[in-house]
Amino acid sequence: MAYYYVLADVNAAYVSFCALFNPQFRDKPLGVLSSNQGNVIARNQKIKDLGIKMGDPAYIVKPIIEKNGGHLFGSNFTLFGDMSDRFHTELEELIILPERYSVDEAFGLLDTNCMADLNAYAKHIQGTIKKNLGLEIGVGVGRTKTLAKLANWFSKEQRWKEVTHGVAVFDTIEKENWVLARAPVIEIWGCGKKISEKLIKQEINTGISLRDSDLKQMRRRYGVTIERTILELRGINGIVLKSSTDARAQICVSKSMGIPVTDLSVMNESLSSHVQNASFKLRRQNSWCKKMTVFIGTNSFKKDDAQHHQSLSIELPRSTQSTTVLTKYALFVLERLYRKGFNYRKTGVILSEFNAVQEMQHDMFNIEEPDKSPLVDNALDQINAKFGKGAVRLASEGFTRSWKPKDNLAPPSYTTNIMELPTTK
Amino acid sequence: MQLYQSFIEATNDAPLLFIEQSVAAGFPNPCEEFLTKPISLDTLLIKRASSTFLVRVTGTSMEPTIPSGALVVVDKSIDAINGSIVVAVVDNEFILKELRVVKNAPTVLHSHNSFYEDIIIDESNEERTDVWGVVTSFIKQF
Repeated sequence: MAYYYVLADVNAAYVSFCALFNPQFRDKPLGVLSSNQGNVIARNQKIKDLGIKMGDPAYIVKPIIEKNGGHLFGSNFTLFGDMSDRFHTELEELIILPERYSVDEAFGLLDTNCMADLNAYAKHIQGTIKKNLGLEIGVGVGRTKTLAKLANWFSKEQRWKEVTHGVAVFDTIEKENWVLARAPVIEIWGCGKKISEKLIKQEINTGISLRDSDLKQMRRRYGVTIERTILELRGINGIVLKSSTDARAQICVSKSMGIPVTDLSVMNESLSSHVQNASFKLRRQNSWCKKMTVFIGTNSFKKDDAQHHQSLSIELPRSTQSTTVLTKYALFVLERLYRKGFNYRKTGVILSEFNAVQEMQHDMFNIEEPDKSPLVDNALDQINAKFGKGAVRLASEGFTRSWKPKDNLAPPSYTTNIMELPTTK
Repeated sequence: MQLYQSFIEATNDAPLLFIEQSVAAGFPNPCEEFLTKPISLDTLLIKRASSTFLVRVTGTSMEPTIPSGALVVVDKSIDAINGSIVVAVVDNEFILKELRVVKNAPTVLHSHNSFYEDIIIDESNEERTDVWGVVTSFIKQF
């Protein structure tokens, strides 16, 4: 076997991104809150040790953290995005066919022909990221993606951390067997909560019993996904790596608003800002989109509040990547979704059905002006790149932005804004 | 009136295009073949973008070498050696010092400003002292 899959991911990514520039909190309980600063969305080990769970409300967690000398940061997705990009860029120098799987995870391949000692090489990857970016990562290596993911899980499990130090390589069947026998099915990639519950009822509790189960029977009962997972556990590749240069198939931008909003004009502002972000991403990957989905929602955690969650998709008359055109349609859709009297908490937009070039079809019913906005959009992108995001925006985005999450807890944009750099004495 | 309007639009939208068109009729530009990219300070100062960070100096401990208010370019991928100017973490704070590694003597963080005493990097020290990154250059704007 010449190739092995590797999965590298940043430990408590958002927290580590904040801690890098705040050495005073290095060994303290640290958490990051959601963009509306309502709930905990990232935790380091110290905060986990205090029994704080994912999604715990900020107002309950805050006094506990402060008593223990720790800190809660807000979210700054500009900072997180830049640090994530640095993490992926560094990894791309170290692994073959890298795939940016998520903000803090990357898959890739290792070749035993040129990386003879897989264990040493995995440690080298971990050491390089630690040195160059100050980030702790976990590295899992296995014959398939599912096994690499399992190795990564194993490398991070607290009870074995003393042995693994965040690196696990399944280079022998014995090692695979040892971990599979101890991994609950819920930890196997591809086994969601629902399927895991059913599997446990069937006395399939661990990875090894899943791997050795009857393939045909499992397929009949649970479908092809589980079949693929079982094959992957047996060392047969079923999940193909995507090249990271592939444009994304859809772009979704959505955020909770800092305060409940009832007013359509405020929702217009919030949605316009999301459309601006989404269309910027669209232009950056050189796509034109044909379909747009707009969605809105109230706070589903507030059980007493009347709830309204709805989305609506429209087919655009012609594929576009223009902020102005997309905003026009988005606001049109929003007006149809919006109902008076609800406390809305969220607006969002999804762009999909991408083309690599703009369709040039002119039909006789298309009375619209041809898309002449690329110049405007280019200028918008360039000004915003130079003077910071949101320096120039469409008037529909509004000026006061009362819906914006309160960002007093958010860390500065240490790496992207010259006015917000870290300081040294 | 409409003509005038479209002229305004054209000039507002694409000044570059406008110039290009007027050049086409003239004498061929003899410099064209020699055109290169303008000088870039980024290429000069940043060798490894993904591991390079900018840090603002807010103290006088490295004066006169590095004045307060300067920007230092820090590349974390570089190994600190004797004589490296580094951003270090001491008492949970970032400080700017010169690293001095000498045989048979303790490793110290040295200030160029004689008002500051050397900080000895001692393993037994309770507070951890780490080199955060190596400074490759500084920028001072007047």
